[in-house]
Amino acid sequence: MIRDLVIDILKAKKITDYCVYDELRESAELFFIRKNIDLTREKKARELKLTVYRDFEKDGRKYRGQSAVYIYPAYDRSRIEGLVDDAYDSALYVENPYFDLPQGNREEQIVMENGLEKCSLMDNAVAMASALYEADREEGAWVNSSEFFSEKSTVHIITSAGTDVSYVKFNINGEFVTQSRANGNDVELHWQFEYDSPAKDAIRQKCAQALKTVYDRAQAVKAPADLSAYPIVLCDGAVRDFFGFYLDRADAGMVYPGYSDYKAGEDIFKDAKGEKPHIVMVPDAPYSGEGVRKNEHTLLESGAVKNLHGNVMYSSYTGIPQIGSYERIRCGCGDTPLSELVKEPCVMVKSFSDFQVDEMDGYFGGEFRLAYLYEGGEKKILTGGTVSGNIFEAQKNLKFSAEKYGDALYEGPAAVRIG
Amino acid sequence: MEIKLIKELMDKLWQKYEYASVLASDSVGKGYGVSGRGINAAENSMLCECGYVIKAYDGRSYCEYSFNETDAETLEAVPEILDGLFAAKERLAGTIEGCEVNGYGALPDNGEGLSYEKKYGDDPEECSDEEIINRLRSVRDKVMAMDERLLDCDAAVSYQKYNKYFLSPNRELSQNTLWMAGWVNVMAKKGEAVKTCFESFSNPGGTAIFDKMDGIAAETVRKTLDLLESETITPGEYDCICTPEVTGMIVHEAFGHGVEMDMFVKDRALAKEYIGEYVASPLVTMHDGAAAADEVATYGFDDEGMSAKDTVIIDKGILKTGICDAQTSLALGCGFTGNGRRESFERKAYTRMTNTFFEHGKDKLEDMIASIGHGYLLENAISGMEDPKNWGIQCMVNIAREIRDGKFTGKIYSPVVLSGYVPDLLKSISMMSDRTELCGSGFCGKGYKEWVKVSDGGPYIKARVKLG
Repeated sequence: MIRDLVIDILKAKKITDYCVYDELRESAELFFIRKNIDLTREKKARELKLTVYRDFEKDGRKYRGQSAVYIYPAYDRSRIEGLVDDAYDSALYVENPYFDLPQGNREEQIVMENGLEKCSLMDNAVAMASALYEADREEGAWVNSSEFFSEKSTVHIITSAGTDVSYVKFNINGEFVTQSRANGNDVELHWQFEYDSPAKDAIRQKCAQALKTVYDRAQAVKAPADLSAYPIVLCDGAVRDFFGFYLDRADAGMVYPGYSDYKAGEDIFKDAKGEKPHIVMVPDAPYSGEGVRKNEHTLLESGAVKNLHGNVMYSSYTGIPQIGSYERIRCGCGDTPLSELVKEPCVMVKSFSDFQVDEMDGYFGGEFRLAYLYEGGEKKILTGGTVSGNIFEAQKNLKFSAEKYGDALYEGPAAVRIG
Repeated sequence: MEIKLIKELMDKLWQKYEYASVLASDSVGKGYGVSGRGINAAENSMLCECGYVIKAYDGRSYCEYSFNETDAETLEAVPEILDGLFAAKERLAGTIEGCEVNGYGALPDNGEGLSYEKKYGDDPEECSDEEIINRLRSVRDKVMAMDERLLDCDAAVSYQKYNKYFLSPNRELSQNTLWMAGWVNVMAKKGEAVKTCFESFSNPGGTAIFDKMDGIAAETVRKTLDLLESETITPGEYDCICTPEVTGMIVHEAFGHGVEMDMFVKDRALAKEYIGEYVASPLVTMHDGAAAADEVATYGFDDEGMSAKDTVIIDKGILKTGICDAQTSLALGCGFTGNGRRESFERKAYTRMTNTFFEHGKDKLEDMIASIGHGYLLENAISGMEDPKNWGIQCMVNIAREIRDGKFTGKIYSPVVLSGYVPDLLKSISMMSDRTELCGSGFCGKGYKEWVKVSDGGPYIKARVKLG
């Protein structure tokens, strides 16, 4: 076992501080063009990340340098020894202030049971593909192509500070493209999905909605050059990206160098006249890559920062508890139905080409492929326009939909009205 | 890599299947950075891999298996796994209404061998980490000393050395190469917002990159501080000058993705209907290819064993052809262009760009600027997204520098989104500067995944662009 070999080498070299992250990645993959199966693939690949830490003093200051190397099953002992030497040598020049590694324990392996573990990876991929194509029966719109990745990840983390934990995680993710030639326009829209359960109903519904949406895009007219007079309503994945701004700003790695001023207890919505978000950080695995146990933690409560998150080094530097880094969030919905949210004039963007949110300067926006302009009781379907704004201004007047949207990284309002 | 064991496995597969090939990849890559966040010197997971991918053909279609353990049990299981993958296709055809198995011909395997090896005198592995970190620290210190309004400067480099080995019944190919890239990202704070401006660099080879980084500090600091006073642009269509990196983003994102011919097979690219037609100004000639330039995406053969080429995509404004991976070539009956690339051995090969650029023209930059009545110099490309089906432009730049009556007014606008219809923009190109510049500091995704190293660029161009 390569993990044992690496630890044996570390002991032989008397390297006392380290973290071993050993991952076995398995997958079954399906690639379709229209409804035809084009390619099937499987994967079984192991990768071990070794991080070594080295303490030293310079000019009276105490440092803890670190460096990482990647080790593969084909590497022999001599090559691994060379890599360990390289990493230990590199760490000597990484003059970062000293920090403690969190103490851990040996724990039983956790299998994240979600239903996907009951079938083979290929069976799960076939079931999800079948479910998606069951929805491909619309008039005037169809699935152009699709990709399915049914994945299993087996992770084992061992640190020199006593952590010895492992878990098994399943998920199914991928993408599909819907196409329509209605109204003489040949158009498409791109969709992504990620589920940590056998979500056949969810993917069927997503596909059905995606077909309706691309059909709408085929009816769309060119958007006016300037839509800046209209309040923006963001939908679905763009809402996650919008709220993801707060998760990014609350990362200790952003706070430590001063890119973000967030600190626990600070009301970052104090000038807001609209709704204030309640956001919870949700773990996507039982442990962080450094072996820190992950649980749910409140990020924002009524617009005030409750907790920062981050890796071991930056959490130590900023003096926050070791809770790990998070990507997944859950946000409280509002009371306003979507139909009320668009009653006053606004432009509701259903699909961006590439929605951008800059966590540094607060800019958000992009070119859209489909939007609805609500004005005077009418709904116009638009394509090819741009909308933009700045979150620091936008957050002063937000309204959240009562309807919910969810994917692997987000659960919360399906729409947010800005202004 | 366990080449002997793999050869034994392939001997067995060649008995069983009409065609089978293996790509073995062994890559190492490391990143270094110095910033207010601290110092980094560590291998990067995106740049490291060691494993194998087998592609098998049963006389009708293809399957793939990626793995990196070579114990007897794993290798013995490979034929059974491949059988299972072919069987899964039949199962899908029986499960999903209207589903059939896509059929392909056999890949050509004409017995050419190749050993492609580039030697560089500036291998970063022969340079100590201390020296690399000190070079970066020196760049950062120089920047931070320039103005007390600066919040931080992130100076970073990364490199990748890769070895690839390809084996099919009649061909045995190997290649080794090296690239290095870097950037300097300067930050200044205004209220809660942090404004950033970056410059990036790349070269085939290694530490010569530092010579490029040393000279740029003052210019990047000036741009960052200018951004503190930037305004929001009034949306509209303007005469613009694009810097080579912005030209590169337009070449790559707006047009290049649209001529990846796997999109032709899927009916996802408008370009398919415009072969042989004017899609750009007669000033425009566009290339892509691993053999088209010496940059970060230069190699001898692609991840399906096809030789690198220099493909002329647009010749004096006329769309001539696209680029393709091997299965796409079989599907369309067109020539192989050496553009089948994988993120790693763990992933499927798709049609991907390599070094993509416009040839230069004859104009002088100062004449181009002088020709603008009211418009902008667009610089510091941030991001772009393809729309091959509808040729919509979605690109973003950090800086639009206002020009009135041929002179800079000193006003800048940020950030700025470029939109519009790709052929409209390309046909509006009226001037091109006399030098093409390429850069490959970033990675290119297919949609939102499948990251591969590419370079792009061109000369300064003058065009009519919708800004918002």
